[in-house]
Amino acid sequence: MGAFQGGLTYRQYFVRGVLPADWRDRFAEALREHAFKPVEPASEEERALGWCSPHFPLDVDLHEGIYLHNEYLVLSLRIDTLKVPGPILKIYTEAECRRTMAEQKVDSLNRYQRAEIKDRVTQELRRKILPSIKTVDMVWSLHAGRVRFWSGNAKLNEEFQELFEQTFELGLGADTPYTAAAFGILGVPEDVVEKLADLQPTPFATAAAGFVDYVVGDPEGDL
Amino acid sequence: MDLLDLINRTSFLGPEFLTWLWYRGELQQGVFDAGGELGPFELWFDDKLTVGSVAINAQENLFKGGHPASSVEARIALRLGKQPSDAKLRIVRASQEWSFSLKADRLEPAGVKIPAVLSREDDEVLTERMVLIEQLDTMLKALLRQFLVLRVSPEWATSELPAIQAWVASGGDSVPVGDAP
Repeated sequence: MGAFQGGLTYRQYFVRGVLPADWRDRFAEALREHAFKPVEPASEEERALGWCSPHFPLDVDLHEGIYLHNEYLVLSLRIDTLKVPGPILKIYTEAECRRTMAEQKVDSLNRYQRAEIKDRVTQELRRKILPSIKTVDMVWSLHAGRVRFWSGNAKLNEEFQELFEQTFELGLGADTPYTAAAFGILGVPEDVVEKLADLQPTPFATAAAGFVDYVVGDPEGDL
Repeated sequence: MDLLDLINRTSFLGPEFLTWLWYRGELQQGVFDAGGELGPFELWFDDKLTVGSVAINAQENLFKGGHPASSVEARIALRLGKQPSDAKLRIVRASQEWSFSLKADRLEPAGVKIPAVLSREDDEVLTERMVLIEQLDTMLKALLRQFLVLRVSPEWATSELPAIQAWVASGGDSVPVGDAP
């Protein structure tokens, strides 16, 4: 699912601010800095996030030939997760505990010894397993100042928004009925925007609708 | 009030917009005119519709298959004070057709099906897909603009709202009960 093929489920944003005159150079440098960097198995981090090519997730050497397509800037957000599955960790931790007890000729280990073994086994397993890789496309229409991100997941959208703003040093506004009006997308006059901010919900169903006991809101329509 | 508060405070505009589209669609036989270069196009409620209200026991009703927007059940839900929270819509303009679901809170499109893309090269495919997505967005934004301008105008209270309320009140009355004995 993404920009070049597949399903089209996305969230829309608008860019707050204007492209700097030297955006080509700035973005090239910023994308080198914020390109995806893998999770370090020796660390305790379980997740890493950064930009990659929209054509191939392992390609993180980003240049204009990869991310500029006519008037669109296209990138993928790559999210790697390196996490040892719980049941596997449990089995190998137990095996290591048994081996240690046999080696030390003891019948049991205290909880501190078990915790230390668990940490060690986790580190060993992290070096042996591969991370899961997820990519989500982003298309930025540079002339229109609109950005589309191919996921409706709230957490992922927050992370995307944060990385976008860090990378390009431009704000990203969510596309909602109010913001579309307030930030000039709809081209409505300023007085309309001011009135929108003070609006109250409309009671479409009234007592006249015939379900008077169930109707919510002001039956007179005075809200 | 900060921007996030304003977005949350005006989140009712999404469900109201969908209700307005539903009403206008029936009134205008699905034909909308966005003006400008866009011109007229058809917008129809398709085969999936969710109506709900936080105020009424947080209960939602999902209607699937057939033509839910004209069903007695969906129209009665409107009379109960519910509003669409998610609707599958279809837009036809000239010989092109877009199909998509629209979540009311953010007016966020999902499962969008665009007219067939004819290009083969990556760059051209992307551009064609994006142009078709942008056309859809332009049509929806033009309708949203019409709604919001009307919503804050004096005509809303004097003519549009009473007409919608009368339409809501009339919904579901003609329940088919079969032949009288």
